[in-house]
Amino acid sequence: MLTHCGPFPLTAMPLHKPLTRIVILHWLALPLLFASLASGARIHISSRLDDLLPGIAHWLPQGDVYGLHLLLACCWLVLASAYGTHLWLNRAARPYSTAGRMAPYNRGLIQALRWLLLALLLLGLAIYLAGSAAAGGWLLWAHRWLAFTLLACFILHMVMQAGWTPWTQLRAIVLPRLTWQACVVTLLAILGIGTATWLLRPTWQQATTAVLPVGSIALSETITVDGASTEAAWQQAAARTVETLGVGREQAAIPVTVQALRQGEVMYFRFSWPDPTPSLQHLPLIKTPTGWQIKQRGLNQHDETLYYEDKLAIMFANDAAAAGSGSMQLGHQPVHRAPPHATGRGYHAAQGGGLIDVWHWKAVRTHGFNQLDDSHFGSPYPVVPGDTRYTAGYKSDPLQAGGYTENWAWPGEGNIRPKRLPRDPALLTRFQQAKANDPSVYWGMSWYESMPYDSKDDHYPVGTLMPSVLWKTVFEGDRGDVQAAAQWQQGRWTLEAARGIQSASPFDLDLVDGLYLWVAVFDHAQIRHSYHLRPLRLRFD
Amino acid sequence: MQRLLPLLAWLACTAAAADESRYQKLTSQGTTLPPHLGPWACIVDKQTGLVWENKTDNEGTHLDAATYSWFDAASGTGKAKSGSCINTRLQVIPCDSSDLIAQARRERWCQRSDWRLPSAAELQGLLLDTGFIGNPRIATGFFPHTGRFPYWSADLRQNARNEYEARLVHFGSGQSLWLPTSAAARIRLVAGPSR
Repeated sequence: MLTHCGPFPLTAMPLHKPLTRIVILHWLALPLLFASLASGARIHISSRLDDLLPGIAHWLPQGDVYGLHLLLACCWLVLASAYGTHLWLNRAARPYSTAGRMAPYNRGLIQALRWLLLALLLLGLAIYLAGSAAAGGWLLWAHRWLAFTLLACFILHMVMQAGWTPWTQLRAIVLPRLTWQACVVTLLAILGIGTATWLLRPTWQQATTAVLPVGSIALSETITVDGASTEAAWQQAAARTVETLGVGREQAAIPVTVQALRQGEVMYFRFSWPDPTPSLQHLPLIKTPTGWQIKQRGLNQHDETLYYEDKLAIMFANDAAAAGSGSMQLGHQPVHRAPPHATGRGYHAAQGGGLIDVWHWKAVRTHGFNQLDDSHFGSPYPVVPGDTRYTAGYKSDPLQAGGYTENWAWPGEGNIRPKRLPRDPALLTRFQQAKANDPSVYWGMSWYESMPYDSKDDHYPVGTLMPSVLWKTVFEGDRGDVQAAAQWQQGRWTLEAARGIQSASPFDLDLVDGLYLWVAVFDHAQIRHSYHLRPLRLRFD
Repeated sequence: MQRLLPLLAWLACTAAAADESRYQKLTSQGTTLPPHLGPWACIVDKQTGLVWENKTDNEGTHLDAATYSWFDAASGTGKAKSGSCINTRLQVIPCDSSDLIAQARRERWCQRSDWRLPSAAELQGLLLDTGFIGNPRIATGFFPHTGRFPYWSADLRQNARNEYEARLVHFGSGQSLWLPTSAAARIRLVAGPSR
């Protein structure tokens, strides 16, 4: 007796086994296809900073879209394996098509879809293992354009099937006549493979994650955290280079070389990356005929890309999930009931109540502190009334005192009132004479070399430039847990950082064997940073 | 617990939205500003009708880090000039709560001349858990430069040794405590009728 699992009662004979498999294939492949294309489109929009079609971004998935895309890729691998088996069992048969006189063309399309899917999967696997920036970004480029081609072929395939045998084909796919045995076997197979994949996930991640060996050095050796890296230990330490890929249409690749050493209870890190133009001019103020203004071209959207310092972010997490341990929450509003993101790219937040330790080195704002800005990604924080910028799970660690501040009472596109003026006007001389990307002029001034703004003291001529960064004192509290210093020499930034292996802060992670590490380069950009999907795993030698 | 998280997030967002409409920014001339503009000198609490002093990190009358001893110049109660203030000429000067009140009244700060110390209940009405222990417990978007420190209230009592103590509200812990008036703590002034 035939029992169906479709939505309507059917009395016809059951389909042949190959056709049953084709129906199941369509039922499984169609949702995967739409979800993969949608999540891929979201990743494309987020990384390229453009929209495929006006308004399409609002219809695409949001949140941990990289995680979703990779999960779908796993499903595709399983489905492709099953489909390969199906083809092997029916190797004598040609691609099935009822598209009338268009059948030869349709069969060709089906073949094309098969090869395109296979190519996409292989490219995706290569990107997963080698990184988005592998082969100069060409793998990613090919993956992207093959996905567009696949979509075009799929639409053509649908049109041919629906155009020539609309009801027959539609009924076979949408109202399948499947036996309950086929449904049960399919469901059990999905559950079994899904569970096995989930259980094997950590082992797979660990086995395919690149390792950063952490050598041990004697307590008698001295390492000075100065960015110069003149110590012999750094010359001997193992180095790993991570290819990060920038955002925007250019998507420039930035390789970051990482080294790590441990000495007793302290860990040292060294990061080095190319940058021909050290950017130390951070949102400077300029005196205009109408008053002081901020030199900027994206600050109001929290997306300054020109008058901004260079930065490097380092993330540590216990979970190796791609895209910063799943912390990239893509989309215009990925956090429920939180404010939309100004650029539509999304927020950072840890998942499942976890914590990601973030070290944020800022070329100008943390200059002279011998510290970097110790921060974290937690679960999305509540919206604070009146705050003009929501950052979801990203926050600097708690600060008791010190740090830096901006030299304006309130930012804006037009005239602003500086918060302070230098006590000695000659202090500004070096900024007037600085050349573009001058590596020796850090655009900041000490709070204690300045005084509260008073228009009676403001005799500066039109065109005068003044820093907007005011250095107070070193970070006191959790935020100052990491010692750091950087130098720019011969087209490269080198940053050295040190912290205790153990941390008492609830916003830090212990730097232990097996911890995962990511890096992100901000090339004179406020929020646009290069990134890589898969981490390095610390391995204590 | 995980099922409660969306509910808690929704409640937090609802509370945030309520506070967003609760406060109104005022310039030092008393002009209102929308929430996304600044700078502002005072904050109107539309729930209570009170006007609160905004602090700044610049030296001067409204310096956030200035500390004051508790002193009522009219009755002579408390301890005079045991705090530490910095004027705009960057000179450190001893100060107390009556100095700040007198200065704000003289300036007609935000067009108000009824500045006073708030009661503990009024200060506690500002408490808000932002969900991050690194933040002070207040709507920081409207009340920047608030420290995770104790702030003096007007509440006064005499202890067993007949010494005067005033009540403080701690914007780090949210708790209130009593300290001798000679202690130094921060102040946020309020204008409007006492509740």
